[in-house]
Amino acid sequence: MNVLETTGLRKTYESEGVPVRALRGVDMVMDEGEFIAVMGPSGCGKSTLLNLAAGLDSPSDGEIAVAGESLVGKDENQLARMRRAHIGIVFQFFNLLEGMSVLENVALPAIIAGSSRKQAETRARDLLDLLGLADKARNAPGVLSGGQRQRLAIARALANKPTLVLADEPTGALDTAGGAEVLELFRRLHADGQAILMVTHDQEVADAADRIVTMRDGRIEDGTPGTSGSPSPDLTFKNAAEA
Amino acid sequence: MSAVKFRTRAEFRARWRAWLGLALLIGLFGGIVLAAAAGARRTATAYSRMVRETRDADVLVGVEHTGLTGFYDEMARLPGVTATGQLAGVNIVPVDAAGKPDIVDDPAGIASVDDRVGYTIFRPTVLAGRVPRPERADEILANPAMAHLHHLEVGSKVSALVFRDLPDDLRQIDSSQGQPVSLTVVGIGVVPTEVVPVSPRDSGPQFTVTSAFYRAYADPEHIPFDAAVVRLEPGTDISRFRGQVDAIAAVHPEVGQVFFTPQADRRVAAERSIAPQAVALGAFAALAALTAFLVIGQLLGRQRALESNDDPALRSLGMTPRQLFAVATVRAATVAAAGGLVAVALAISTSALFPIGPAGVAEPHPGPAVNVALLAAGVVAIILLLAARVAVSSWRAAISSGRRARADVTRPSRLAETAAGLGCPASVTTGVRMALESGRGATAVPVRTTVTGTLIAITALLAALTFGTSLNNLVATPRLYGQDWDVVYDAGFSVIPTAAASALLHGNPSVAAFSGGVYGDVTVAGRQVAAVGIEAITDSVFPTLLAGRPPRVDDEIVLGTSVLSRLHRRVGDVVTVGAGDGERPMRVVGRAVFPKMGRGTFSTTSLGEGAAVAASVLAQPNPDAPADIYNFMLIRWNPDPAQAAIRQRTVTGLLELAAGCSGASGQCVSALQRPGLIDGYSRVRATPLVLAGLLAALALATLAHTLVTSIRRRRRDLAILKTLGFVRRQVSAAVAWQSTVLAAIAVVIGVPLGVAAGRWLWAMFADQLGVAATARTPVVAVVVVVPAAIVAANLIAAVPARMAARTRAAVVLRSE
Repeated sequence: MNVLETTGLRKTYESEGVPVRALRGVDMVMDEGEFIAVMGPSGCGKSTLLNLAAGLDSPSDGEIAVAGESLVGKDENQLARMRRAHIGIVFQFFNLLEGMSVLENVALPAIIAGSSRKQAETRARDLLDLLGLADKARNAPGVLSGGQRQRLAIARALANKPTLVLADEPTGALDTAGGAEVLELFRRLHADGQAILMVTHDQEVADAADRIVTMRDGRIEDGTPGTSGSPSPDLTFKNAAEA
Repeated sequence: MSAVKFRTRAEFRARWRAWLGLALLIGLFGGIVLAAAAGARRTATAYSRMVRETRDADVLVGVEHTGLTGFYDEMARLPGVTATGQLAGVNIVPVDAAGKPDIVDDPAGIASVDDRVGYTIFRPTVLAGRVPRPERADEILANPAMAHLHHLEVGSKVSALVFRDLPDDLRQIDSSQGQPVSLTVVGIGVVPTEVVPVSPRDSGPQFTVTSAFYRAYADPEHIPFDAAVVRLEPGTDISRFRGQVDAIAAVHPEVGQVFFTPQADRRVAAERSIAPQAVALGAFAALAALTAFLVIGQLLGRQRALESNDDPALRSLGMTPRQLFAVATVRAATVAAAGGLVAVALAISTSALFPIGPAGVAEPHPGPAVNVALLAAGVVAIILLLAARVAVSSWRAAISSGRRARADVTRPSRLAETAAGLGCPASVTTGVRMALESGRGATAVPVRTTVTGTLIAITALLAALTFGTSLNNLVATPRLYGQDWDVVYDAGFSVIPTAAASALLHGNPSVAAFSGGVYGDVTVAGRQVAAVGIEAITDSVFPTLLAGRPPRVDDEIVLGTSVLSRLHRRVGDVVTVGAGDGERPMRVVGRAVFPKMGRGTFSTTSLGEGAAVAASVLAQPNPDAPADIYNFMLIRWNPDPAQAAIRQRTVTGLLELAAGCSGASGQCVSALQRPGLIDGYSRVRATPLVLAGLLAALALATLAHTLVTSIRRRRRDLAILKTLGFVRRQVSAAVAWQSTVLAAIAVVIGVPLGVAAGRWLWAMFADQLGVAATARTPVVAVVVVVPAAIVAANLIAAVPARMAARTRAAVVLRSE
């Protein structure tokens, strides 16, 4: 089953009364367990594609399906339910809930999806343990380092065991060490079969993916395999987190 | 200093819209507070200003027959008298277009006999027009009741008939006996006795006519009544003056009995009647000021936080902390000053709404008013308080600057944790957190301000409801205001034919008990007190006793609470009582509440003001019919419903004995003896509720502001929740829960607090009135307020919830 499939996907925004054609007909297929990096210059439509895949925005035309389920014509509530089941999102600037503890941030998506608090917290603790943040569970996100914050965001994205993780410039706000931490994490996830669609404009980051899709002016220019399509076998998540 | 000015100017140019918005908000809140405070002051002082400006009388001296034959003139020459005026009743009956007498109530015309009453003493407050010219017989002044009754205004023509005598039953009036007159209303005005009426005549429809009219149309041999008003030098001994008046009356047999009524008690009653409204307005002003300070202080603090984002840059350029502090304070003071001016304008433009209640009748200068001192003090207070509020915020910001964000989570709400632990849906726990966790920095929400504002409103509302329910209970329960009987058979200035009345009441199965009574007054420790003498004819029927028992012998007395507290005496003490021909010691055997008992405006008991003695102490000898000494009889019915028909026949029999029960005879059978003070309160009992309602509206506005602020500041969080799978309904539900929790906290604390405050206020008020402190808890209102507050909170939340549900996650997260 394709985790993501788009056909003739178009999106036109209205900006200050002027139509901005962000996507001009994108055709794309993403298989289960695939790790794709989307590259391109600013304004090429990368983030728009990600938002459409997340169901945070609706296409102007064309077809988009996640896990074989078309998103076109779905209302906001249906899209929200789709996200609970299939999507985990990692943002460039983390978008953590500052009023909640680290543990609560990770448990929340499962609670929203209907899990009991106990189940959600158990899963959250497992994830925090896996990502090397177990000792920070009671802390506020604000006291974590950039790399730790992004790891927390990734843990939150994984809370509901999503079909597809969408990552928007996940290393964009991090220093080199932090960026490496996150990339290593993505590699491990990918090795475990997690499908990841990552937007980046950094070639080095993109190289971590199986396939690199380059976009320009709202269209896909080409798709090439990444240089390091498989994760480093000698590093565990924990090690990566501590690195 | 120039750096401060430079920076302040630059901020003003950049943010003048925000400043203007704040100034208008300060103006609105401040205007409400200043208007209420000025209104409270105007209400509290209206009556004393009226007394001063109208040159109100200190004593009203009425007589049984007439004093116009020289008695009043001699009285005017007594030492201590600074001014007097003589007045007389005239029988003016307005006629309709067909020339038929238009009788609605007692014909009430008062003539200024000597050109003094209404001009140099006992002047009216003129609400419209002017006072009649003394030399014009055709000019009259109408009081508001008369103007209302006959739809009169200044310039209205009134056709009337003037009669020498009127029949007891006005329906039998003979128009041919009246002298037609054509009169012009030149003014509408009120006198101090109309503010808190003691008797129906005080506030009834009335014309004031001139001495020219009196000379032209009145027959001194046939006038319904006459009296004199007297002003005395301050400090004059009233008892001594009364003795001198009685001495003059003794050599004027044509005068008959003298009815001597000092007006001090009436003034006290009027002030007491007005005070609750002034206090309610003052309390409203204080609570509104507190709420406004919390809300606006929070907004200014928030504005300060936003504008302090530039502080690091300014510091790097060399500005000192003191200069930054000065910028913030000057900014706040400027906004507060602008707001203060708006507040003053608002307070002046709404000043015509005040005074409220009976004080509105008393106000000598109705219409807009400017209390310069109060408004100036208000503006200064606005500037100082708000500048201080911002100064505190700045100081806090200064001492915390540079510190790293605290490592712990923003104080987690236990309630939210409990809700989560109980497995409540995510929308509930999120809503509870949004309600109780104020957050920090850019996402901070004024949770405490909102809870406090709503709590104040709910507490005030419940206190007002509890007070109002207790007042309603007092108004509706005659026994509580002293009337522990069902009807009074009242002969007023006359005496009851005792044998005939007793024949009707003795052995009557519909009558449980009846007492006979005599009107009069006594002096207690040198001060005149309205009194009644009561004798139990069957079982005792007596004003409601709060302590002790009725007097059984001539040297026992029962006093009202106010009299006792003024004398610093209690039940069991002995007081010196002047009654009839001398003073004697009497033991206080009880403390009672007195209903309205008295003749017309003369010496009327009222609640805590009054005395009761044995009937023999006050009874006037009646040589023609020695048994006929009672002025009134108090009758308590047999409550058995089977006696209803006999009861009705008894009332009919009493009415026949009372010869038509018309105003001229003064004889009546009445079931209502509610004191004027209680009537006054009952007319304005909605005031506290209206003011509490305004506070509630203010609280709802605060709640709405908090919700909107919360959604605006937390839109990023809401967007994240949406990316995590929150559907619109869950977002709306979270906002609804946020509002519900805020309202619920206010209700849970405010309802018991408000009820307790209302009961406490009522106990104080009842004690001051001299009635039993029987507070009533408004059970229905309490039951209604709880869901009503929750429903109101959810209605208020509807729009913000919709706004929140519409949050476009992608757009918000992109822009953030």
